[in-house]
Amino acid sequence: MTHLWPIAKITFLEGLRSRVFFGLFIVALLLFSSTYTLSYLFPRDVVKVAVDLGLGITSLIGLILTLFLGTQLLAKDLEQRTIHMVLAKAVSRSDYIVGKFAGLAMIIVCSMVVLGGFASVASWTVDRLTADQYGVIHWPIFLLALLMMTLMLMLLASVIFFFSSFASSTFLALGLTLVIYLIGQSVEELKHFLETGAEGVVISPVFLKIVTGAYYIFPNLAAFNFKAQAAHGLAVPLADVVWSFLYGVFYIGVMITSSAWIFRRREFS
Amino acid sequence: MARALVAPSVLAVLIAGHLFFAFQLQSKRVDIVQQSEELRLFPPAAMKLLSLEYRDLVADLIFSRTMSFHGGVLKRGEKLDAPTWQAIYQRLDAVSQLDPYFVDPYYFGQAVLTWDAQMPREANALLDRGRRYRTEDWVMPFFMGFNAFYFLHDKPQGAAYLMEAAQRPRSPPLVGLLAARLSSESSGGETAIAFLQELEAKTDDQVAKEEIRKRIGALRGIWILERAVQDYRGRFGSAPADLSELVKRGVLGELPTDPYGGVFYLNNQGKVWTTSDLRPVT
Repeated sequence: MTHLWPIAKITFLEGLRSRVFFGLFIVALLLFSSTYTLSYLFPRDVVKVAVDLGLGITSLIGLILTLFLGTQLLAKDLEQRTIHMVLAKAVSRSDYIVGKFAGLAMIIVCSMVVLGGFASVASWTVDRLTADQYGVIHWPIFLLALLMMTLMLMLLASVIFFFSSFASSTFLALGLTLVIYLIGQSVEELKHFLETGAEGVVISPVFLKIVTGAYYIFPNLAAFNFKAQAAHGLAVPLADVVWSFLYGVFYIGVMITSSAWIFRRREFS
Repeated sequence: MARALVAPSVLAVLIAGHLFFAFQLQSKRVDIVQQSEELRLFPPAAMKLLSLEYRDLVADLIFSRTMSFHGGVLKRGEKLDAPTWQAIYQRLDAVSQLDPYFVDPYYFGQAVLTWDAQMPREANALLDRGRRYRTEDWVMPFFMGFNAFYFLHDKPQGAAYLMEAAQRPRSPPLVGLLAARLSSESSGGETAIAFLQELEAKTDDQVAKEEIRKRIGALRGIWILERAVQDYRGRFGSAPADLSELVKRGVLGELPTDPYGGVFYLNNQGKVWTTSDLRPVT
């Protein structure tokens, strides 16, 4: 366990030096600066649109960042064979995985603080410059949405680690994670749609069973989406937050433990 | 020397060619771009799935495109036909399904679907979602009540929506008075009176309270007289020629007075109304 912190620290610094990181921040800044103009295209719900844009841009950039840095950080060590050097230094493979993940999680937190800061400033500016009848920002829910978004990205990072632990190529891990993201965002809605049914549509019970199965296997990423609540200032029951949070933490735990377990059995050429 | 000119001249020819084709392409694509203004729409259930975690942003986008499509048509001075109005309605409906709390599509629908499109039923179907989700917003049932009353000529339904609007927070007292007026014109005055009494109890503003009390007085007068007229019919087999007969033949002790300063009378349909028309007589 003693090697955990140095690995995390190195991963964190390595990530910060990545060019992807700064490129994306510049894109984010440009997007955030459009918030003011775009939200004023709407007649009434100006602040709502500003919050939609702020949180939407944050989660989109955060997502790209997590996908790229996540796959890059592990793949680099494997492809450049630096992993042999690290593992030769009596660092256990589980320490390596957990340390790497901790480093990536720190990067995600840092990026979300910066991106969330940008989003807050952009939304706050719109809020200040408009009368209250065009909406107000509900800061506690806004911050909650950012926090849950961060947890969702960490969960996705743990899925990347899981796939990277056995996939032979970076692209495979990236592709699989992307598929998980798409399923994770829509599985809850799909399950709900199939259960409630639509008029004139016959749903095969086998398909419903498959989707229900998928719901329990794949991460339900919609559970971390509090953007609509933040935009409209809707009440968020404390239980919802607690369950989503614990669900996220345990899913990450399962993913990282399995990654470490698979990684320990992997043979390096 | 000649070789040095090859690259620039080839480039010049290519740029000229590019400009030529760019203009050609642009003129060819005008139709395509205009067609895409009509925006093919996925069914809302599919859009909910496809928009992933960006459902609110997709709602914003579809709404702003609908607005600019409508604006473009207005600017060109074109008239919209029924299928296009239907498409606009479907778009607003999809937006409100993606983000049912978003207020703009409801206001936009109220503005264009009723007056311009002559689609008050669709406007109310749209607003009904707003009414169910935006439970603190009195404007949603207020619009619905107005549409029911003014466009659909359904006074009882209109009154019911206005009463709902009046019971929501921050609704102006005027809404309650309007609801009571519609209700007393359409159904029995009892509903209107009961509703106004509740409203009076909830109102803090003294001027508004006084106004509500006046209306309760007038409506109670109408209600007493209507019951007396019914009683008269039962006893003498026909309606009285005018209200003073009620006192003459002993059905009522005395005629109630209208707090607005008007006089109660029997109108052509045999209903009791007042010369003040429930407004202060000056």
